[in-house]
Formats: sequence, C-alpha cells, structure tokens
Amino acid sequence: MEKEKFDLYCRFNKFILEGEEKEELYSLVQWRLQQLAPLAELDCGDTPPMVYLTSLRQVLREDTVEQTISRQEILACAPEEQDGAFVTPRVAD
Amino acid sequence: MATMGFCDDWKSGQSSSVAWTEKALAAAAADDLNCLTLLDRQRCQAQSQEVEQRMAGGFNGPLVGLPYVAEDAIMVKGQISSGGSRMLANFAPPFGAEAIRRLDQAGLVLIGKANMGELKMGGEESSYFGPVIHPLDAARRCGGAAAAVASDIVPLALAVDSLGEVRRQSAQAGVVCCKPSYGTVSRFGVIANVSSCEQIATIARDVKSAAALLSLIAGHDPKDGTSLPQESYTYDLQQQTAGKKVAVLLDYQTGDYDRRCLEQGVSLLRQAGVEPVEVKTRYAAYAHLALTVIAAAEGCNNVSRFDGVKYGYRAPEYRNMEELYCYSRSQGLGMEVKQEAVLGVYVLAKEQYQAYFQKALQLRRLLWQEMEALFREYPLILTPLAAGSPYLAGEDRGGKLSFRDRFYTAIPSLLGLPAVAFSAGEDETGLPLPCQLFGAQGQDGAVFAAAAALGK
Repeated sequence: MEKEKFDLYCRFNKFILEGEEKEELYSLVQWRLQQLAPLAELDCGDTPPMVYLTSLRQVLREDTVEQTISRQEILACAPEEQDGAFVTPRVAD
Repeated sequence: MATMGFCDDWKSGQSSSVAWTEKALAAAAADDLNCLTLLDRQRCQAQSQEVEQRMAGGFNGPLVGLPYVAEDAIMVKGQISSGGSRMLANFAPPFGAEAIRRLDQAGLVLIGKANMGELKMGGEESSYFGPVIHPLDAARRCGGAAAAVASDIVPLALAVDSLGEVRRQSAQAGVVCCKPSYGTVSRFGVIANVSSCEQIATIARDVKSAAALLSLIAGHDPKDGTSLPQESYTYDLQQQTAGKKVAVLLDYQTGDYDRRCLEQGVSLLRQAGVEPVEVKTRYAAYAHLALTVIAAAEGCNNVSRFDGVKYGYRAPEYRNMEELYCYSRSQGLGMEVKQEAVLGVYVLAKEQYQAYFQKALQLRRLLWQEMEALFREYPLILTPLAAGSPYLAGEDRGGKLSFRDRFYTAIPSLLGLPAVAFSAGEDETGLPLPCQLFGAQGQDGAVFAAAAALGK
C-alpha cells in the first residue's frame, strides 16, 4: 500500500496520526498485507461469494407503540448533553 | 439433581449461592492476574440473595446459584461494558445482552467483567486495562475469561468467540471452551466486531459444565436477525463417540509445537476408541486469510459508530466537528483496532475489492464445500490451536502472533461451526498443549460429547 493510500484510508477512518505511531501503523498494515498475498493470488474461479452463514431475516417488531429505551437513558451515555440533546460543536456558521 | 463435574468440586461442599458468591468475590479481590476489568459487589451480592430465596422456594437447576464472569464485550445494563477499549471505558449501556438476561433468569450470579483484547480485534497486549497474566506462567499472557476460570476465581465464564482467540487462550490455560454453531446464541447486546462469525462461547473446567452453561443461553431470540429458529438446546454428552472416524488435518503440522499438540490429541482419540485418519485439504491453510479480510471489513464498519458524540470517549479538546471525530477516534482506539480499520477500508475499496473481499467470500464457500465433503466421511475434525506456547509479555504487541495463531482457529469461526477447545497434554514445562475438535453446523452435541469422551 502506497503511503498516499495509507494516509487516505486513515482519513476515511477519521484517524489523525503522527510520527512514530503513524510509522508503526503503516508497517503493521504493510506486514498484514504481505501475509494476505497468497489469498489475492488464489484462483477461486467463478465460485459465488458466501456472505451469510444463516438465512438472515429482517427483525420487525409489532407495529405498536411501546416504551423501549428512554431519552434520559440514552443521554446518560453521552459525553455531553444539554436540554435533552447531544452537544456537538457547531456544524454550520 | 445431576452432578456437574468440576462445578460440584468448586462448591467445596457448601450449598449456598451467597457462600459461593463470597468465595468468588474473595478470589477476585485477590486476583493478581488482571483477569477482571470490573467487579460488581453490589449487583452480585443482591443477586445471590435473591437466588437463595428462589432456591428456598424450590427453584433449582444444575448451575443455579453459581457465580460467573462475562467478557467485557458482553453488555450488562447499567454496568461499564468497555470491550477492553479506552473508547468505551466509561460506557454503561442502557440495555444488556440477551445471554446475561437468560442467565439472570436461570439463577446464575454475574460477579464481574473479564478483561479482553481491545474490541476483540486486538491480541493479548491490546487491552486498555493492561494485559492478563497467564495463570500457569507469570511471564506469559492469557485472556481474562479463560484466566478467571483457570485460576478458580469462578467456575464458569462467557466470552465472545470472534476469531477463535478465546478457544486458544482457554486450551492453553488448561480449561475447556465450547463454541456453538453460528446462530445458536443471541448476539443481542454483544459489542460487535466480526458480525458474520462471532458467537458467545462458554468456558469451564470441563465440557459437562461448559455445555450446561451453553444450553442456558442458547435458543432463538427475535432480537437477533441471525438467530436460528430452534427455541432451546440440550446437549447429549452420552452419545456414542467410540468407533467414529476423526479427520486429523495435516495442513496444521507446520512445526514441532503444533505437531506435538496433534500427536497428543491423536493419542487421546485412540484411548477413547476413536479412529483418527490423517487428511490433507486444499483450502484449510487459507482460512485465516479469508477470516482476516472479512474481520477487517466488518470490523471497520462496526467501529465506525464510535464518534465521540452519542456515547464513549470524547477528546477533551477540539475546535470543530471534524476535530471532535478525529481526536476522539485517534485517542480512544488502540493501535490494533486502527490496523483493522485501515485494512478494512483497504480491502473494501473499489481497486482491491475483487482481490481481497470478494476472494475471501469465495474462499469461504469453497471451504464450506470442502468441509461438507469431509464431514460426510468424518463427523469430527481434530486440529492443534497454536504454533507455540502462550505469548511472552510484550511478544504479541501489534498482534502478529495472534494473527499467526488465527491459522489454527479460523475454520470454525469462518464457517460458524461448533468447536470445543481443550488441553491434549502438557509440554516439558507443564503448559497445556492446545487442540480443538469441530464438526458440522448443528452437530454441537456430537462435538461436545466427543470431547467429553476424551475425558475433558
């Protein structure tokens, strides 16, 4: 993986890395990709991909109003809350 | 009431849940292995008293009143559930895992949370709370749930079998881990990593106890879209194992250590009247590569929810929304999680998708077909679980050794197969030699019965 691509994928992940940490991560990812090389070279022909091990079903509840998790319970987990809402920096000026 | 093997021994002749809980609490307080990230005295003392009252009213069962620990990826309502990560170090979820609810109902007592590799992505050195010291050799590392059972803090534990590290750690600590078929146990309330592979597994000193614990949490849960329809599971450990053929996969003889593990496993099989047959496969040696790609792809999506806004760690300083996301994620997640996340984006990117992610899913099908063909002839498969002894302190930094040993654990994870991990013998230093038996999907009882027949 080229350094530029690595930087891009870090940005996609919202990681800001510098110095030794960045170098260490880059070298670990490179090492991992080297290990994965035999997979990339393997000929799997036109075998259909296998995504799920079971037949997934959509989980739908009955269409009735019921109390699940309260707003207070959810906000209790938030790093910062105010007036019943999550606090974030301004997203628009 | 049926005897419960080691669990009965653990009770030390006492017959009260309160006494068993106090015993576990005292052992946990003296824990110098760093097994636990949380000890909830208040919750478990109240719970043991309540169980005691229910028992006085005639409530009973094979494991009623016994204490256990749950790995920190299994959420408990209102109790810190960190997943071994700084990101969730203060996270007390507003709902708990279905497995915990079922064990509450069955009268077991949760004493605390077990330490683990960060978000199930990291190896033995990656927990934000520090590594777990191996119960049999202080210079080495272990997983918290396996170490808690191996050091007799509790007789039972729940852990998430994601990439198979829980199986390896358990067998290398001399305890047993039962991993069920995918879809058997609800994943509701589990901090997700590899959603298409992970299942809650059980750890105990013997298969009988681990299978009994599993039967209490297994069964359909409408809250989990991947849950199989069967309502409940019981595992018949008395079913005949002698005379069966077991495939011994030669793909896993790569060095002295794994060869010795296999030799010990084969010797146990012969003693139990089982016929071991050496088999070489075409795709088994690639399973860990496919699992790594799928794990990274699913993992990077699962960690994308951690943004410092709704829950979890928030960086103390930021000037705008972008910085809030970036600093929170950069500071809150460890090196091995970042590694998985970057790799995940790479294998899913348009340029690499065919070569990695698509290939991994194709290989999963090829392996499935290969294993299906094998299971028609051999109902059970034996493999070693590691290339070497439990990792020395610092040895697994960056997760290279965990990756190496994924080679041995990958097939049951990748294909959702039932497996049981156990020690097949000891090396010259007295450390367990880890092996696993696995079978076809849905054959959980036959796999556990076979391990029980080996004296596990």
